[in-house]
Amino acid sequence: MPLLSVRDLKTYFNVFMGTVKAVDGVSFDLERGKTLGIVGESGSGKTVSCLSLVKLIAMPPGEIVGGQALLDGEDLLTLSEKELRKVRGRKISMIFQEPMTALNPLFTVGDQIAETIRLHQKVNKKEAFEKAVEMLTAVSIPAPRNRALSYPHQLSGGMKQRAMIALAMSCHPQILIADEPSTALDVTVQAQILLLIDEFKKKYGTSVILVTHNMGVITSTADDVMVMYVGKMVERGNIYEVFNNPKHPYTVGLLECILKSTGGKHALKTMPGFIPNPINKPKGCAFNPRCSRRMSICMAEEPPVVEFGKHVAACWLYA
Amino acid sequence: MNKETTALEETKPIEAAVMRKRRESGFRVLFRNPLAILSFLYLAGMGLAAVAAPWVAPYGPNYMDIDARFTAPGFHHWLGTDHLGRDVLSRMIFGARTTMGVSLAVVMTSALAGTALGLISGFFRKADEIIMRITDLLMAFPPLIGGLAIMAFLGPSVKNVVLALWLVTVPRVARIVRGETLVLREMTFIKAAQMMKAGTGRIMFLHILPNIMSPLVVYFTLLFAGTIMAEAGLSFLGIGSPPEVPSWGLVLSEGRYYMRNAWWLTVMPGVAIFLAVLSCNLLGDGIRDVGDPRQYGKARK
Repeated sequence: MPLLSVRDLKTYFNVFMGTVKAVDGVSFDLERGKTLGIVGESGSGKTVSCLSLVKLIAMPPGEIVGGQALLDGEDLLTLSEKELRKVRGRKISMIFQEPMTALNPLFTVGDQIAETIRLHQKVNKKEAFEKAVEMLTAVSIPAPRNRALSYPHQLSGGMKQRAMIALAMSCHPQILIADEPSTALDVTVQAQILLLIDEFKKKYGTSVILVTHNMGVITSTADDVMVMYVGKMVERGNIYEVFNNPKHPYTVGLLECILKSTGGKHALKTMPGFIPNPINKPKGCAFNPRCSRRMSICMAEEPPVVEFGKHVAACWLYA
Repeated sequence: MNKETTALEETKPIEAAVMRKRRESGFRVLFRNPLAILSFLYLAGMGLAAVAAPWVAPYGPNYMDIDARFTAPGFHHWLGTDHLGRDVLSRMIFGARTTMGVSLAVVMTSALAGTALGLISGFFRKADEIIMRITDLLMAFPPLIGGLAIMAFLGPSVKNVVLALWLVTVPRVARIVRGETLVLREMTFIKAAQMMKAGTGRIMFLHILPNIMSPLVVYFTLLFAGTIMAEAGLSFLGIGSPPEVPSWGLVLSEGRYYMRNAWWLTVMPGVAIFLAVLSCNLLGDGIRDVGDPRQYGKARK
């Protein structure tokens, strides 16, 4: 049985111009100790899907319209704010894209981690601080005791992200949501951060939801992958199956866009067109205006989800 | 990986050094700024003189020596005497009680009330609607005219001056706090804190309030300066403190008829007001640095 099972999640934003269906019927499973990668362009609803799980979207204008998110058999979407606070940090925790702004600038890193620990465990200030130093050691920050006394502005971007991971992991959550954890960092640091998340995954059996728009990051870390396009799941399955045998034209396109260093000089492939306006999505399949294999039905009706074993794709090509 | 970090852990001497100066005192940061020291000393001196007025002042505030009317500043009357032969220095020392006392009372109460209201409206939409409409109403009056109207309605007394100025300042503080709260609420570290279980109260007092404190404290010092001027203004217009309770504005106002032959009656309280306002502004500048962690541990110039 999967640890987290999300079914038909729908999060809409009611704005002045109309309703933005940021997440529109997304389903996925997260297995214990595995990594699920969520890929998609900006605005495809990756982050909103994750934040909806713990109701951390602004409500209003946001609204979770429907769906289910079963964690250990408990539906997160029906929990009250009070019950949700027991889930946050303890069961699900999160690291963010921009480590620069994810820490409170007025408190030392150690204090912030210690505060969080004290929020969850009955320990005194000193013990909490010691635990914070332990966590900083675990994320391989050099001279952790010194760094615990540093303010966020005294750390580099990579160090801040490590500190953020230490903060998020300080209460050993079952699920770690990593929202583009490496996007704001340079490539070498990126690799270190991803490795670190992987290490925690192995050590504590934490399940990871890795949100990214970088296909390379997904291939190196994820077990399963879900591709999203304007609020909808287009393809989902085991990483090898999806990458070796992509079904949906969008996934095919994304994979073609990866820069390969095969010697000769050819132009980087790009996908024509833009993501549609989320308020005014095209009729039928949202991807149809950009699709190279468009059929007439694609413009009329929403595609069904077709199963190929555990690998699924929402496309008329296979219906 | 673990071996590496334990090796790095054993940098004990540095650690001890860092531990010792874990945080530089805020006063040291403040007093790195010489203008802030001067301003602080001036305001502290004023405050002390005001508190100890009966012992410091050479004469009573309302003691009249008719024979010595319009004495120019000199040995017996350091700052001269007014049209009733009252000692200007003594009246100003007692006046500092009113002026500084009123300003302090106004700033402290409106800081508390305004911050509370601002935080509430930054967090709760429904309360926001109500609070902001009331502040709109109060802010529709120009500050001095608003104060004037309230004073005219309530009659001159020190208590009413405080109330009038309070009503004028609270909406302004609430507005600033609300604005800052709305900006900070959207910051990633607030979301991160929520993600780690922090509730509304915790977010408000541990994350939002400390982060708006430094601009706020600066605003309070400016508010203090503004209130000194507003109080002086009300007294100058004759609807501030009653005649038997001297304040700087009142001394200034009483002296204005004799400006041509007794310049000290207007210049002395004017200079006192000017210096007090200037000091507040300079001190505010110094305090701004105290709230900024980047200023700590900086080498002295």
